[in-house]
Amino acid sequence: MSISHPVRPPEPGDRCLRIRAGLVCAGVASIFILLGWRLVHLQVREHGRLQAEVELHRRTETLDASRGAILDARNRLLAVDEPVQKVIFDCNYLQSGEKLADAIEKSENMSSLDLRHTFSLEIIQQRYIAHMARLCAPAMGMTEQEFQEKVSSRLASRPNSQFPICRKISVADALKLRDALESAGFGRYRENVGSQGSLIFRNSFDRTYPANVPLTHIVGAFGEPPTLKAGDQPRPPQGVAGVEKFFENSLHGTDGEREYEIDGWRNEIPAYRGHLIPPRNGKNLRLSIDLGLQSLLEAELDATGPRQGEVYLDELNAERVIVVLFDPATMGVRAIGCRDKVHGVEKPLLTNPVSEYLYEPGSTIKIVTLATALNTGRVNANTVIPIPNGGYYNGGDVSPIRDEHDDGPLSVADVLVKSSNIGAFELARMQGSVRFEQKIREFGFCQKTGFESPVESRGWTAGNERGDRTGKMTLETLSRVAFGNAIVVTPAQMCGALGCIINDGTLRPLHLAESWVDDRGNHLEAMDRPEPPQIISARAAEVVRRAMLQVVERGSGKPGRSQLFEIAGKTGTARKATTVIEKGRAKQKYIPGDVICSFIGFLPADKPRLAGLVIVDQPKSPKHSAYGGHIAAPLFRRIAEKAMAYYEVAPQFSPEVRKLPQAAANTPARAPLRPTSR
Amino acid sequence: MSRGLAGFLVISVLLLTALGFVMLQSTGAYSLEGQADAMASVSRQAAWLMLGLGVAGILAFTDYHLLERWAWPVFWVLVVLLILCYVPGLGVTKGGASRWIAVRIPGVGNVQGQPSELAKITAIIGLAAWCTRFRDRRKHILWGFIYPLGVIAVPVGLIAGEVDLGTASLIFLACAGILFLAGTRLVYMAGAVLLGGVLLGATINQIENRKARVTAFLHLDDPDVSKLKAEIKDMNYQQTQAIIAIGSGGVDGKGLGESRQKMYYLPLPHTDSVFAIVGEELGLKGTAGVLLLFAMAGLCGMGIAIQAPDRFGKLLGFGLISLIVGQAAINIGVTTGCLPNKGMPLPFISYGGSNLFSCLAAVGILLNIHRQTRLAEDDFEIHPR
Repeated sequence: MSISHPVRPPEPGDRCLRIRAGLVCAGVASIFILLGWRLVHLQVREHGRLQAEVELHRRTETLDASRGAILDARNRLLAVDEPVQKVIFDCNYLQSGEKLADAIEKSENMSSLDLRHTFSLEIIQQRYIAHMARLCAPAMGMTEQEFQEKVSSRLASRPNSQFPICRKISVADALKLRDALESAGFGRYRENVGSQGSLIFRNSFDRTYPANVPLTHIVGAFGEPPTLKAGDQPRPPQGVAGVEKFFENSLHGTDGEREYEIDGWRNEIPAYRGHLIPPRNGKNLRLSIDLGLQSLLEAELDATGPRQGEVYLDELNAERVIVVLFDPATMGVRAIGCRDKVHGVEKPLLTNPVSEYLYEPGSTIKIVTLATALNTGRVNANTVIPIPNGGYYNGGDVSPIRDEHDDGPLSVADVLVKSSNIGAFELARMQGSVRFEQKIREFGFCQKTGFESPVESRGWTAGNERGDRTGKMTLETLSRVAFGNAIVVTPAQMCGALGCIINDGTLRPLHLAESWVDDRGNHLEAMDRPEPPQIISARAAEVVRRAMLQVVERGSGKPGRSQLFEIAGKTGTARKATTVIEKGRAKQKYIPGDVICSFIGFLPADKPRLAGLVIVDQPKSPKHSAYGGHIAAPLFRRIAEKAMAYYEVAPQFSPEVRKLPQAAANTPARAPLRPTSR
Repeated sequence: MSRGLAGFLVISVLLLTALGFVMLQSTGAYSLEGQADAMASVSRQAAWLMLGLGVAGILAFTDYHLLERWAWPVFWVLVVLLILCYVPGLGVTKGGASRWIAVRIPGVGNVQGQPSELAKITAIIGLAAWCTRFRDRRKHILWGFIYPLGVIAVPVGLIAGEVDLGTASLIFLACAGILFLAGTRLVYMAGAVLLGGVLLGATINQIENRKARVTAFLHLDDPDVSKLKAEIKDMNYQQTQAIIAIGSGGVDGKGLGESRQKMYYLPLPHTDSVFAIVGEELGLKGTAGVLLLFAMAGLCGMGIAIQAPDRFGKLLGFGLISLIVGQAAINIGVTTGCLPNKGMPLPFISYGGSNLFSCLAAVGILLNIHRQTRLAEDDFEIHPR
């Protein structure tokens, strides 16, 4: 389809055209060279910076591990993680003026376009944050100012980051918050990505303590630990007291992590999922605590009543009362009760008195003195110990020792029954200070027992407060340690010693943790505990147990005698050393009238089912004499009888049978109605 | 040599078109309209390609001098089509621009077209014909400058009114190039450029939206942009994301189909921003290759134009190749942040049937110019003068 067309001869303008065409070609080439240079600049020199921008699409999500539950001995929940929502603030969202203006146009009563046309992004960001604070802060449990400060400071320091603005909000509150945000125009909640505007809702857990009794002194607490220095970033929540802190590593588990990329609509891109580390939940811990018994103990400590012969806490006006109940067979603590003048519902006790409280045990330690003496084989229950006339020893080798009663020479068993200080001293001296001190330490005193509490006191003897002068106990110290002075112990150590005597001389330290269990409470893993050593002979232990029974039946512990069970125990009354400031220096000093009354015992005496320790620190009661036998023993008996009922242990005696001989001539009743059952 | 020019031009165009299909396959799923069926856009583009190749083939074998004869009737037909874009019911408005007309064809459905794409070619043909016809008066201010500009102003004005300032500017630049080559006095052109610059500046200053766009461009790399009005930062969004896409590709690229920016970060990844995705997926090697192919096509086209047997052929060839190369340069310039943001497809690569069709048609005409040159050379060898 060609048209016949002659070739035109060169025209005058053609030369100009060729020159100008050459210029155009050169211009086009220059433009392409410039574009090429720009590409090299972007793709070689700026590559790192721009790649970093793309990397911002990559997110790492922490998958919270559920903290292990804490159960009581019967698998009742003491502490458990409850599902909640964690709210994360996405600062990236604040980079889009359009999105922010769309969100606040309703609240600002101004169109999105006008907002963007009128204000800078910075101002729109501030207004958005202010509106969000108004809606979110109350639901998140913070003030609007706190919310704004949190977001603004993060936006200034890391504008492309996400951070948890609220670690826990209940699922119901989260739903309400989403509705409120939606109705205020802040966008709809997007189920697939869990986000709504700048907020991202993630599943998390909150620690709850479902038990209806105060357990902070045992279980402890979970929360943000105090910062070490002012201005430090808050540390992640963790166990801050009690078992929660002691077993932090095992209970906490390991949080998982998930790496993923998001597209421009903030949806996850499945093809570019990164690594996935599933969370490993914390292990579930079963304690030896029995919630039922703990509740019972708490109720008994709070009880008030007019019954004759009973001791109630409100009458004692004591500084502190500590009650420990444990199973002598396993040495697991069943209940720990504590009342003092400082702590209560408002200010819960966060320390476990069993391992942290230090006191002079007084005569309760005579069970150890007696046991160690009997263990030597040089004395038996009937060996007579000379007691000087008047119950006053002043041999010159040690400071004078006085007994409460002038009983004359006493058998070894009666040294315990009558609670003779001189007798105890003689029994200790008989062993020699080195051996006696060694035995004291073998019983677990003056050292940590491994009780499951973040803080455990070691205790000490006079002259060896740091514990580095072992084997050098003086006779003077021995003379006081023998009846519970010049030695400071913890309830855990004292209970351990009692357990040793109950368990035929085998020392198992008192413990709180029983085993690791699965989610259904089935046993998974036992606690790692060493083989219990034999401290004294079974024979010696038996003699001490019998003597302890007599202590309650006819000795200093008589007010603790039960009409239902044979209780074996030992009373203690020790002067209380108080720190006073003298000449600008702190000093431990005994204040007249300040005593610590205690009772340690178990029941039924022949087949011990429950053992315990009651300590009443500094009682000021006009109604009761300040002796362990008068204050601590009846308290123990009242609690122990209720505990036996709780354990459905049939009484050894009927109340009538126990009353009659007691009323007649203090003759011990020896007529069990039914055999003891566990 | 002249045979080689046509061959290189065809190879460049085919390679660019093939790359366009590859990139469409990669990005089609992330276009807003392409989510439902990613392959639908590929098949639509393939249909336009077939049509374009057919028309290019016809034009390659149709003496371009016929265009000189039919230049004005076709020119005015296109002007009418441009007017139809404003007619409610026929004109289709998308994103605030009324660039399309839709016709319902029984059995096929709605077929949309962009008359401005064809108007580009007819404007070039018309102006080339004018400059050839009035070559003796090329230095006259009225016949060589004012009148031709006035005629071209009709379609350019209509396209600008659609609102398609990019295409209007491109036609205007190509026409200015033709006048420059035709021998219009430089002093007139310099005066016009000066006057146009002043008028453009004044217009931009008057229209808030345009002013904001220029401000946004001037603050493209400003870290304190958040202190400016929020809309200004939003206006930079597309260019910022395009630069991130190109830069993150590095030298080797992330691999075909591995672009992240196309996933709803970068708007229009299959049309105006496709070059950024080429940069991200194929790296500097890919972008440099595209640049070289366009440069090769441009040089080949200009080589063909300069060897054309007559003045009309030269001016027409230059006009058409500068349309293609200019459009490519503007697109790449915008994508790399060298020019203010302006939506314009990348010839042969961007998704868009009308543009592909008009570019292929332009290549067909260029090939015919080349063919006529060869015929004239053969004729000269048989009948030397």
